[in-house]
Amino acid sequence: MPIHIDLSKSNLENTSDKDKKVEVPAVLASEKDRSVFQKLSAGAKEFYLNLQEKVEKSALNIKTIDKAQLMWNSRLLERHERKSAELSTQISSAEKDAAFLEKAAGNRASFLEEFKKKHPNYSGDLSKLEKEAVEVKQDFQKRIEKINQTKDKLETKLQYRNDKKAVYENKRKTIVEGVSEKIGERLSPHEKRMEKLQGRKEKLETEINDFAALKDNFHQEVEELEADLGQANFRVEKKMLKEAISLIRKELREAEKNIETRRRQKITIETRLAKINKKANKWRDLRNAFIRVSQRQVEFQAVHKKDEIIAGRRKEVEPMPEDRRVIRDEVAKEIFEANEDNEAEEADEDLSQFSEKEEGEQEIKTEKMEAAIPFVITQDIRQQLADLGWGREEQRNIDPLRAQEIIKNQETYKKTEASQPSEAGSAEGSPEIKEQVGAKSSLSSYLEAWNALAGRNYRINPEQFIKSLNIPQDLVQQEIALETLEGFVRGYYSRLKEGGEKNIFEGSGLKRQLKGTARRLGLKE
Amino acid sequence: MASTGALVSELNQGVDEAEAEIGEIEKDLSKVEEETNDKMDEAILEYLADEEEK
Repeated sequence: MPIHIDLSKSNLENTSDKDKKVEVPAVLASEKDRSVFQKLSAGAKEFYLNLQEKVEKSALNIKTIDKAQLMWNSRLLERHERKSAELSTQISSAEKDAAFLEKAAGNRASFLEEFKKKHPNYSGDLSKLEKEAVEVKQDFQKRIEKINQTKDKLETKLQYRNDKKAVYENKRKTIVEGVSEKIGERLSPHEKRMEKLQGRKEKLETEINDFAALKDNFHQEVEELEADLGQANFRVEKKMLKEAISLIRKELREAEKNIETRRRQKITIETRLAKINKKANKWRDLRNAFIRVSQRQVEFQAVHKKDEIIAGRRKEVEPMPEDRRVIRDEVAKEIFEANEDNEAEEADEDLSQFSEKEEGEQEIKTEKMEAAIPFVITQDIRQQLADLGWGREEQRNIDPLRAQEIIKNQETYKKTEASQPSEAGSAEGSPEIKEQVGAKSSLSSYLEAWNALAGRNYRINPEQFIKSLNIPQDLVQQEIALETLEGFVRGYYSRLKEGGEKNIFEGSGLKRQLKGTARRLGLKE
Repeated sequence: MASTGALVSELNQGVDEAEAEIGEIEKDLSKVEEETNDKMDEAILEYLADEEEK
């Protein structure tokens, strides 16, 4: 009977009083583990105890696979993901507040300046207003600093969450590699021995078949001699034929007996080999299950603050490019599949039910998410908007509902200036054009469009760019083919990478950014 | 059939050795399994522990 664990969020986050009095499970032998357990929240303790209960009750004796599955369980990851998402929202809100205050401070300061310019002969006393303006500016500055301090703290917390997941991911990776390596090392010589035995067994089969063929020949010979006997006229001839038939029949019986003995011996050997293989397969299955389960990856949002620290600390686990990310449901189907023996089949059944339950929950969750309107613009939404050519500035001017609409309709950003190449150059007046044949732009416009889209850590300093790639000055304002411009940027990032920069666009990230920039310039749809 | 008899003897001896070997392998890998379980326990517990909020 399958055992189900209650992995619902409400269960994980349960902090009722009765749950706080939880004894340390006996299975935790080391003092370190016992100490860590005691410090867990009530919800986390409950989660862990549920895991242990499932393992103990499991009649399938697959506690390692049970635990591995739990280790890669999405609910476990969600514990930190939920908090990360909350922090991201708060950071985004702080960024918005700071930008608003900066804008307001700028407006107030420019108002007086404008007034003075417009009314140079105004005789009234402006000193009070000027003093007020200075005070307001100072006040705004203080508030902005405070917001930025809060933002810093939030980013540090988010970084902590990301690091925690990164550490966990590395541990899982190490565990998988360790299991795979040790099983491989131990089974390798045994597999060679079994291969050799298999070769010998095949030779035995060949020999038995040869004897069987020989027996058939004897049989045929007897039949022929018996036919001759029927036609023999002389007594001597009949006597000789009878003796020959008798001798061959004796050989035939002996051959049948030997063949039967060898066949029985072969079956015994095969049965023993099958038992050995079954034992070895248990470990092969475990290794395969670990390898399959390890394909599930941890995703987390990159924190742009303190990038050099992030790059230094996260050597093994980098935030994953989207094309490498694995969707949980797809991978879950492949986890712990197809074992050959009955026990493993039962295990499969149990685990697939467990997985189905999880998948069901996930489906419900996905449906809910699709129906709901996001209340903030998440990093993922920002990235999707950037892919469609919506820069940071443009993103600030749209609300979450509009963002969702843009993504849903795959609406690309359209620049409104008359000089915009896509609009000015279109023969049919359509703002959205397919990639232009031989599309061109100036390097300065291209870098401007790039910087409008890229986050602050990825913006390109034109001077450094030109110097780094040794581009002649007269090329800067010239119209250059899109491919060349994109080649320049690729080259620039390659140099940065060679120079030891870790946190740079690579692979699909760079490709998306190039595409977004070309769209922004109207050079691609 | 005599040479086949030798082949059967050789096979039986090989299977005996393979049986003994798989027994040893099972012992070793059971230890690996136990260690892995401990590591997974430790990793899950540390992941669940929320040091930040202390």
